[in-house]
Amino acid sequence: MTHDQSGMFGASGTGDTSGYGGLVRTQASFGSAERPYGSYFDQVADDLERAYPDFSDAITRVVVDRGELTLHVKKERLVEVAFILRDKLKFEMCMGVSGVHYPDRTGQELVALYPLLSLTKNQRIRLEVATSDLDPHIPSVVEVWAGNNWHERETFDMFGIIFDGHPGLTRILMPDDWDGHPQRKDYPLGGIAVEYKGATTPAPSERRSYR
Amino acid sequence: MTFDPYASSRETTEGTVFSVTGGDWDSLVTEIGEAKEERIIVNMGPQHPSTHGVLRLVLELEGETVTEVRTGIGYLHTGIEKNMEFRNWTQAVTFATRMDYLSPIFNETAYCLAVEKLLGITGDVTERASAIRVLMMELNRISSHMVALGTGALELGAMGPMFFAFREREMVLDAFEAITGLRMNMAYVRPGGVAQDLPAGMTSQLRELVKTLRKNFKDNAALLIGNSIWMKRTEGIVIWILPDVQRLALLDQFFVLLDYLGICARCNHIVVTKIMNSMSSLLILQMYTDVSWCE
Repeated sequence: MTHDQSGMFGASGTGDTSGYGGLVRTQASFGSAERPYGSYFDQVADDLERAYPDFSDAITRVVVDRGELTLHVKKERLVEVAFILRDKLKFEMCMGVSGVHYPDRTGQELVALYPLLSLTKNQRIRLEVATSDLDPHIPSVVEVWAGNNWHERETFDMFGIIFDGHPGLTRILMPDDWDGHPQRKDYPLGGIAVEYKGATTPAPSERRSYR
Repeated sequence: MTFDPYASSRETTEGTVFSVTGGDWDSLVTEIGEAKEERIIVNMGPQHPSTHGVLRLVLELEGETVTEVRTGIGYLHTGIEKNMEFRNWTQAVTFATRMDYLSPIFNETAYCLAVEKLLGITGDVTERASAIRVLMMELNRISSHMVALGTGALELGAMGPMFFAFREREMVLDAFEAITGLRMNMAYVRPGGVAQDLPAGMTSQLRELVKTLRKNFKDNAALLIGNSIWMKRTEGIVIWILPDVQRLALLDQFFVLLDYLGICARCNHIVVTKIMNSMSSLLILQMYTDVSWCE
């Protein structure tokens, strides 16, 4: 499954001389990786399958790309998987949660990424959970990794993903009464035009090269 | 007692709200003394977020015990990711370097390594460029730790260590200036390598710097660890056990080492880590400046 993206910054028909307007990039969406995964990834997958009987149902895809292992988890199974990974596979640390917004992926627009670290085994893996824009709910993992409290608040603030079960999900970086979620792809860059000695510099998002 | 027109109390559905502005503690104490409830909620701040180490705290007090605290960390997000969406990868380094004013080189390098990984050109970065990145990061580690050590001591009332820590930091910043042209926000590391090579004669300058810093670090460490007031104020506080450290994802291999030794990490251990880190940075710098390719 692939989809093409052409141009950059959406530039077209503007007399763009940078060459970016003519770029065509093919973006691959990854299917599940084939075994052997390489590195310690096979062992992680084996251990998880052994410790967690519902593996095949909960883990929808196992992606190995650029030397990194990502497990795609069904959102309703996230907390179960997280507990197993923490207690049985010794991934004691969750280094936060990042949000991603894919406006074109209907039904899976919002994605939460959890980078995990095992100090015991010196291994890193990543969990990926997707949800729909219309139902932006993902269970909270604060009961598993307490340090994710503020990270989930940030991802809620920036992407509007609602983490069910979070002890106090409020905005953390933006004012409480802010409209919208600033890191979504459809959120504008903003900025205002600046006039100086009669000449006007347009707002960043309005400049030709960035449009 | 002075009269303060802004200090007053008013009744709300939540209870009595007192406004305190600083010069009116006497009247507050008198008024609170009449209140029947022990539980009071105190709003501390907000202060300006760029002032060193302050924030807004909403404290819930039972007598003199803080039972709950909510924090307002300030509106510090600058929308760097959104700005990067509108730039190309090389331009975005200008933003990455501003993510943390104490460790710009680390953020630049992390960002550039990610870009290189995505493009699949990790192997094309020359050994020299990688070495310069390491060199710059180790210098940056020192300049960053010097702020932590100096200001940390300053907040405990020790003025001296700050002067010396900042003297060392200045030397490192001078090296940055010589190499990149800038003392901070250098945008020096770029996808594929670095912006420019080391200037002529830089290696010998760096060797001298390492020598000077090694001597000065000893004095600095003695100034902190040898100071009994500082030691007493940092001993036995901020006690961390390994499970807590892991649950909150406070990453430092040092915690694991201490746990292995059966010691709970404490405030002054963390300071010692910083000194040790700076020392090992010097070792790495020495190794890198001693090899012949550097000339």
